[in-house]
Amino acid sequence: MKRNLLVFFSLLALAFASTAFAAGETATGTLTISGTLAGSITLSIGGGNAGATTGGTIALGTVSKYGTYSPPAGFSRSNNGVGTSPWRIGGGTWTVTVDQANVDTPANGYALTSSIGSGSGTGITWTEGVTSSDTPVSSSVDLSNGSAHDIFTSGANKGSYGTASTHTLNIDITDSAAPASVNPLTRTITFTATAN
Amino acid sequence: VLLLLAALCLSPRAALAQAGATLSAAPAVVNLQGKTGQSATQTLTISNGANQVMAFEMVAKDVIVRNGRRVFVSAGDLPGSIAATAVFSQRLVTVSPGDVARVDVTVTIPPNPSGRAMVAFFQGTTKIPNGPVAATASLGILFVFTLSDNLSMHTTPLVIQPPTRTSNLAASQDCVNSGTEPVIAKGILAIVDRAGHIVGKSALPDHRLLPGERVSIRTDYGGELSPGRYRALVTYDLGLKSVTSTAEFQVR
Repeated sequence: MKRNLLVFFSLLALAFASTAFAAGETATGTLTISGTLAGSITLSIGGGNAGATTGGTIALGTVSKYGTYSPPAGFSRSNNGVGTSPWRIGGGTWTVTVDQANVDTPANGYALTSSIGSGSGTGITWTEGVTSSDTPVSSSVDLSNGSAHDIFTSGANKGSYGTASTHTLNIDITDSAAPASVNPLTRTITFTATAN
Repeated sequence: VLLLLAALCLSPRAALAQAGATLSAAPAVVNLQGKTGQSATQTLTISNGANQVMAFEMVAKDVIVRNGRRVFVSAGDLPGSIAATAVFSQRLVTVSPGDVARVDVTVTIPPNPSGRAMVAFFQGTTKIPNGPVAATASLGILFVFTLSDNLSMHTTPLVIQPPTRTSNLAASQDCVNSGTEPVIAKGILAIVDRAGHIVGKSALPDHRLLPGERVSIRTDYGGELSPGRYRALVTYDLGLKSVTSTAEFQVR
């Protein structure tokens, strides 16, 4: 009987010990995760026939009305016969896509402006054509004065997130335009997007 | 021979950034509440996904509504310009490819502010040497300020196009922010039958409206409706108040 009791209490002690061990294995702790979700927007330039990308460049090369000219991808020279003026380097296209995540009112869309930064010079006109399933402020924007011009604004003229708009660049040059002490075909086209 | 070679020293450089490279900014929108004289500081982040170094100048502009559209106005051009109070922790920012830059901006609400919104721009200034045409990007972060409880919105009559065999029910109307503060209109369309039971609901997309701004709101309801007369109710929750409009329609 004594022996049975000894065995019983020994087993009981073992049971408690294993329970304590198991409890030690599954001890709980806490880890507080904190953070703030912020809406964000992104702009990318790409697509089209000109091979443009965000921060990329398009080398027009040495451009002249007469003589041989090998334009870059997407561009061509036109209206360059004798007696015609202005003549044109143009036709290059690319797309601009603005997308968002976690913006509180995505239905408001975004605003987009375009600028070449400084005036194009006398006799030279930079024109940007815009096609989109949205309704741009204008389908043709004269960028020549260097100011920022509205492409999309708000309301009926907003840009829709994730919808690419296609932009076509045409540069019209009169025969009397001065060739270039200031390199008039050197411009950075800046697209600026803002969430509405 | 007429050979007019323009001395346009255009570089053959055509180092294009990686396809699909993007520029990103966060937060996209900052909603602030406060009173005149109060200041707030916000950290702005820009990420350069292009494969070349991008440079930016921090610029603030006011946003006002003119002829129903938003217009950016240079800081200080308007009396009570909020943008004119913007102080950036650094004015010029350079971001390496794949890198991120952060700039703090502190704005203070002036007495009699000209508007209720401004934009802080990461204004791209990257200059491409040696001639080529370049494309670059800037991103703006919208700041919206609510300074009182004067929230108000007017709506035009609700227009319902009943469903047909080939089209869903469509509800549309214009909303105009007629108060002095910005609002976010959170709308919901409810369709009620003659017995007063709600037989369908559809959420409208949320819209932010600055004072004076107008927007056309439209939604479709794709549920089945038996022939009969119904009433459509659209309720916009503006936060502190709501605006409701109704219209009756017949389904044949």
